[in-house]
Amino acid sequence: MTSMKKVFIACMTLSIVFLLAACGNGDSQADGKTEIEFFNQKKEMQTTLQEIIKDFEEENPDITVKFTNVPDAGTVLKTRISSGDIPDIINIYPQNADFQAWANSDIFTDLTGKDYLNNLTEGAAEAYAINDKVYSVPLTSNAWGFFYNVDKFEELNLEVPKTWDDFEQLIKDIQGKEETPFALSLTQEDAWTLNGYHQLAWATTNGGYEGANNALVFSPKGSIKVGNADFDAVADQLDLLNGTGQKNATGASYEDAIATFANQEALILPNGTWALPAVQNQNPEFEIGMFAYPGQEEGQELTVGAADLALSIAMDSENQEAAEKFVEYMTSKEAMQKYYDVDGSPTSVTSVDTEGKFSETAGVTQYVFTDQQIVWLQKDWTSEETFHHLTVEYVNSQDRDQLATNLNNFFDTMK
Amino acid sequence: MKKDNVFNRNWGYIFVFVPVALQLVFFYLPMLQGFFYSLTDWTGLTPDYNMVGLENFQRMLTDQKFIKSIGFTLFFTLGLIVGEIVLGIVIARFLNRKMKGVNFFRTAYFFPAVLSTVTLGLIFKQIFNYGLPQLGESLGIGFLEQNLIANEQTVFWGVLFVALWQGVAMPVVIFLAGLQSIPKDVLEAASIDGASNGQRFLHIELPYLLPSVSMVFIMALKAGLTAFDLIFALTGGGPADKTTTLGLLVYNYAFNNNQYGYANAIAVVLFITIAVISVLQIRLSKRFEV
Repeated sequence: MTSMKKVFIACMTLSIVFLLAACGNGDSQADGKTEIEFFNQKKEMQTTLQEIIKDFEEENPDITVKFTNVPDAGTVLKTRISSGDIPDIINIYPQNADFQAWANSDIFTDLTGKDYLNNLTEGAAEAYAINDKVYSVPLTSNAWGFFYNVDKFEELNLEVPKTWDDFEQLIKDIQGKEETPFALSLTQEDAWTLNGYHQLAWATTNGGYEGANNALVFSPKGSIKVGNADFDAVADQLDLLNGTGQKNATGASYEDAIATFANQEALILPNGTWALPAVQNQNPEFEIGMFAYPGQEEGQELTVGAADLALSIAMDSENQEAAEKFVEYMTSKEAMQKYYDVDGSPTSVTSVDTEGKFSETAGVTQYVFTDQQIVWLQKDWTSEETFHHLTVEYVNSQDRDQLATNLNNFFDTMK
Repeated sequence: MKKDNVFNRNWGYIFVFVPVALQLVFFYLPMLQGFFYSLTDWTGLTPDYNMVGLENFQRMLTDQKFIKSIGFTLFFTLGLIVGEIVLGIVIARFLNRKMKGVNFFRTAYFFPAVLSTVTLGLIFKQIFNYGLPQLGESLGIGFLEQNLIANEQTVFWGVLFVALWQGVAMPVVIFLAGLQSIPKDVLEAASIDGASNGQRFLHIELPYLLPSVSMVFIMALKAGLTAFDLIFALTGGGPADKTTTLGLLVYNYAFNNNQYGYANAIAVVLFITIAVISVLQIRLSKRFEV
């Protein structure tokens, strides 16, 4: 009897141990196929990617792709990587601080000089190199700008602004015609919607990406001050958003702002190209267009954007060859044409046919992969959220001293 | 035979072992890890970190966001405690009367407690942004025409109102139970002696309610100091960080700013604060119990 009980206890203990150990188990394929895991963060493109994967598997019958889609993918990826459970192929944004930290600690495979990088626009992959090594294959890019209501603009005889002065005049004209210029969401939660506006304000006044980050993050501690020419110019540009939004803009969410624009209650929606499907979901009864952030002079328009669908390979992966085969396939016309025709974000894959498609966003996407596009400034920051918050705080309060203090507090921790 | 006895007496521990092991693995272990990481500069991204000693705790002293957040959390907790106790007793006394439809009112006042806090936050967010301004406009009340939780001056009261709207439900039930446990003969004797309503409340009902007050106090204290979900859904900590509670701040630092070490340090401070207040509170309330 005793021995029976001992066995029982031993079984119990063992089963608990196995239960806990099972969580960390790797998978082995019995049928001789190689299985690679593809971790996706572009939820809206899940169906299309699934089709592309199917094509890939038909071409490579010895490889199966495990397609991982989880809610809150960014956080899941963080926990998986920090616990060493790294997917073979990861869709990860190479401009972000987490990617750079991981690249620096040898989480990703070095892809420098691979043949398939030649399928991309020249310099596209090198733009995100860490220590001169390519760890990411950027396939598409997003871009930030202003959506506008083309029909209303025509009806009211308004023109797309070419310089900053034009833009200020345009806003006055719209107000003069009893219309609301901007659809905004000035809450802390959806403060990210104005990230591009604030970053482009710094970039256009300081001559681009480097100038902007030299002023913000590579300057001495506490050096952002009221009275600095660039600070005052940026603050002036942010002032344009105060009092020009729809009623209740200070409490509106991202969805509210989209609805306001789609219902023609405001004529301009400042946001990134990714917002197009959301606007179109509301079935707007007008033609949508986009224009870029105007500079001081004509021809100095800028847009800010960075890689959207970008792939990295885990250094730890036991299936490097298969993983690379998949990444190579993703740089082909066969795969990316399918992707582009649904997504519409500008692609770096040169063989994809983009002629005459997605004219709504063309006003901004024409600058992508040219020197009139800067990468998101947070590429050189350790975080960005606070920057969004302080942007909206200033737009609402117009307190310049507080803006300078907030900017210094935020950037001083990185200096 | 003897062995068998030892086993027979102790076999219950096998059943205890499972929950205790789970508690250890999923609660105490992470807690100890949290203490450990509060002494590091861990980003939460890679396995690498450096020990930085008490640097994180030093940084708190000059961190404007932290100081702002402490201020809000304290006032919010205080508002919650006072509100839940005072409103709770007032409503419970009202519901303790013999009147028509008292059961309907009891249900109505308890109803908010069964709603998910996040749902509540999202609903009130829309009410504040569209409902109230609409009402203000049609009635011509200028004060209501703006969004009360988007305005830095009024957001505190807006958030406190929503928190109390739900938070007062449980205390009402607790106080109502307390009031009904008061012996009828004491109250009868008092009214025969000509005690006024106020005297009855002050000298009979309040002493009987003290244990309930102490319980509601702890509940409100805990809810206030660790407030997260309602505020996350209602204001996201804005405008201008005016409603960022310590819980939300910890979340922001850990998941948005990639500063796990520092976030853990704030969490440790929060933990110690709550622990100290709880111990003090339990000792104090024991002294006044009936």
